[in-house]
Amino acid sequence: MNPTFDELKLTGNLPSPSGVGLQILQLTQNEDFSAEQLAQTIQSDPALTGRLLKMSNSAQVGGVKEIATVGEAVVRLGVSAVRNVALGFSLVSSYRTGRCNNFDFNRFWSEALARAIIAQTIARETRMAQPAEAYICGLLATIGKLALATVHPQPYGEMILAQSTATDDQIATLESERFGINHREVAAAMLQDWRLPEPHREAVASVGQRSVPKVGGPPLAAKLRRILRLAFPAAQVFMAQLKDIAPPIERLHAVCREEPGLELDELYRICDIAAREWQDWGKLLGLTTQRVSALKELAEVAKQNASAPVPPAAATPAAKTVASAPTSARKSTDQSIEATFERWKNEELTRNQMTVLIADDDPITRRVLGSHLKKVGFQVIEAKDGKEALAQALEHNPHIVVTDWQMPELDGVAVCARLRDTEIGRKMYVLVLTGIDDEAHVIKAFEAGADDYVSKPINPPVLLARVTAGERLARLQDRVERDHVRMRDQLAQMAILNRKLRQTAVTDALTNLPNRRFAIKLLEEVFVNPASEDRCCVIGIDIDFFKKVNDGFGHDVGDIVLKEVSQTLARNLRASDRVCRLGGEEFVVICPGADLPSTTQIAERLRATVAAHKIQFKTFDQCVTISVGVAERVHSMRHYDDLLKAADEALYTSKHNGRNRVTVFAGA
Amino acid sequence: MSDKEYPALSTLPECLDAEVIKSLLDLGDSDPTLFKELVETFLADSPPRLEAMSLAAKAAQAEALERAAHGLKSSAGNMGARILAELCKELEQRGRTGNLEGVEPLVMKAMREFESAGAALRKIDG
Repeated sequence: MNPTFDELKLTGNLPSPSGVGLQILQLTQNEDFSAEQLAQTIQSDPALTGRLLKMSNSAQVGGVKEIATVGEAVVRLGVSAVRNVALGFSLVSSYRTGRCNNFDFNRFWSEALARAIIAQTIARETRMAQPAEAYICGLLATIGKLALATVHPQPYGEMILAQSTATDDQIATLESERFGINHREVAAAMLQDWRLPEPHREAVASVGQRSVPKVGGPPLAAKLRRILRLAFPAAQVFMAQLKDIAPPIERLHAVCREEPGLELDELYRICDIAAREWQDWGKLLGLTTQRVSALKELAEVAKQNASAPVPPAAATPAAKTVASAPTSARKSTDQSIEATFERWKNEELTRNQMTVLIADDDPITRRVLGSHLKKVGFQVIEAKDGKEALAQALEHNPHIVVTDWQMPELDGVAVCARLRDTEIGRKMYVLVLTGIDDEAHVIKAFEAGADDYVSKPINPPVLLARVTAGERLARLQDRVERDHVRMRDQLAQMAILNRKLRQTAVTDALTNLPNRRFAIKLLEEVFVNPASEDRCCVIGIDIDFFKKVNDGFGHDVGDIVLKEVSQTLARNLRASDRVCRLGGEEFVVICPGADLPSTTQIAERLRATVAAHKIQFKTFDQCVTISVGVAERVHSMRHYDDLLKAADEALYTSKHNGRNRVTVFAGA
Repeated sequence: MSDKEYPALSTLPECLDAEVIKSLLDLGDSDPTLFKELVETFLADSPPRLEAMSLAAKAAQAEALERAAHGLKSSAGNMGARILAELCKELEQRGRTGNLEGVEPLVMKAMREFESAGAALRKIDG
């Protein structure tokens, strides 16, 4: 486990599927789980059950008998589809809002959903992987961004604002600088934490790289990574405005060219299927999606845009319009975002920021109670039965819940007990209305976690007095909560500092390259299993006649030379290679997974580029050269020292033979 | 509670509770359409419930009777239809204990009570 991730986790603030979502995730990791077990798990969450059934029925062809139970849905849609929907619902509905002002949570999920469905469709149509596996990887591939935005809302928000046009790779670099960990590493660690299989984690962690460095890794990871590399730009195409369509289309074309088995037309067809599914699912989850034209047309538009950078408005006809999600869902999300922000802004909750949920199956009771509460300034939301009450409570996070006892589906006591099972539900003030004025019953309500009760028939002034008592407690609760948030922020700040300190310990201050300690740590990892077949090469590098630079031009010039050479080296490596400064004018490049011929080529490229790079500073105006030694790990090497020594020996040969050259270690 | 006077209250029939009606009318200041909406809902939602009570009484289904009577009891109580609410309470009780002797005439009485309460409410509204 990544130590910096552990620190993030300690803030207690990382996103995670809610109780049932997590249970589903864990259940389905186990290969021989039964459809029945899955159905039972889902049924324990009434909100999830409702949405799932709604989805199952909307996917039905007309005339078929309505799906009424989760069990039927599992049979009709298949286990993996149900699992996917359930996990998606769980995460999406838990993290729709947050404190990070510049992070667009709706857009984040909309794009994640697009990527998930595209990945799933690619997997299904090309049979490269199980569609469900591809779906999960697509959905969770950028979860690290959500995590960083949740744990470090303020600094992450500032970063997003300053870097609105950065690519995913640039963002990852910035994140590492600022937070000591990037979103891909966070995502991989979270997936591990959620016990997703290793190939999924590897695919998500390495998606930015052209090839997976680790040789002998599971082939599934490579397949999932290839799918993700296609799904990323395709999802960006889905999200883009027509005028910005060209860059993601170009990226999509570029990755498609790297897939020899996949024709562009076939990819277009897959995307067109996925676009339709995306809109259906978006509606279901209350996420804003847009209508996506056929990919072929979009590619044509992109071509025109590229030739005429500013297309006239008339040249872009009905290709794209924003289709809205059900307005009610979107409106309520917006409202709850605003309500949340309002809550953080002000020190003390005012009456009109206080939301009361009224759950009663009788519309007249709801209307009368609602009117009384609104009159004295409360915000009021309503639910007509226990199931709806739970769903509304978890979605809108009211401060006070007034629930009838006897209701269809779930009674008030059950609502109370279920709420107390969830983290946000524990903070609500729950008042149960009871028609049965008998002590045994009242005790049952308190046992289920109710804070208070009021007997029916309701006397409005009495009820208002009781709700007001609840209001005082909710205010206190809110204060405590705010203090917690402040504390968590401080903890998160400290975690950043810690990570930066740790990074300083493995970074060379002059060149900003990793230092000797880092190089040794990396080599130790490679050699952790001495019998392993994992390939590894190293390149030893030494600047020629560096002493003459220092003595002849001064140490300040020497420092500049070191910096320039470092940058030249770093710029000319593969993604999986790491260059470290061992000390003085000595460097080493560690290439995990690489073979000797390709590493020798890289070494030669480094030598030639350094030799051709003119360094100018004060009186210094010339090129420097490097001597290079390349060595490959072989079976007889039991320790990383053996490998370093081999490279050193080859480097010595280069020096001996006249410098500015590459020598490959010839064997002991 | 406001001291506002409502002319309709002076001619209120026995079947309605003046205090409840007044508290509903008081809410009219902040919620002008409330009373009208409540009366409409009450007039629309109650007949099916009475129908369910009648069917349950005829078929001697204690649980169904209890459920339907419970629902109507709340609405009637909220609307100040106190006699109807009392009858529903009695019927709910009978359903719960399974003592269904003579419940049919009670349901008939509830239906008549609903008619007069409904008419009286409409008059206030009007």
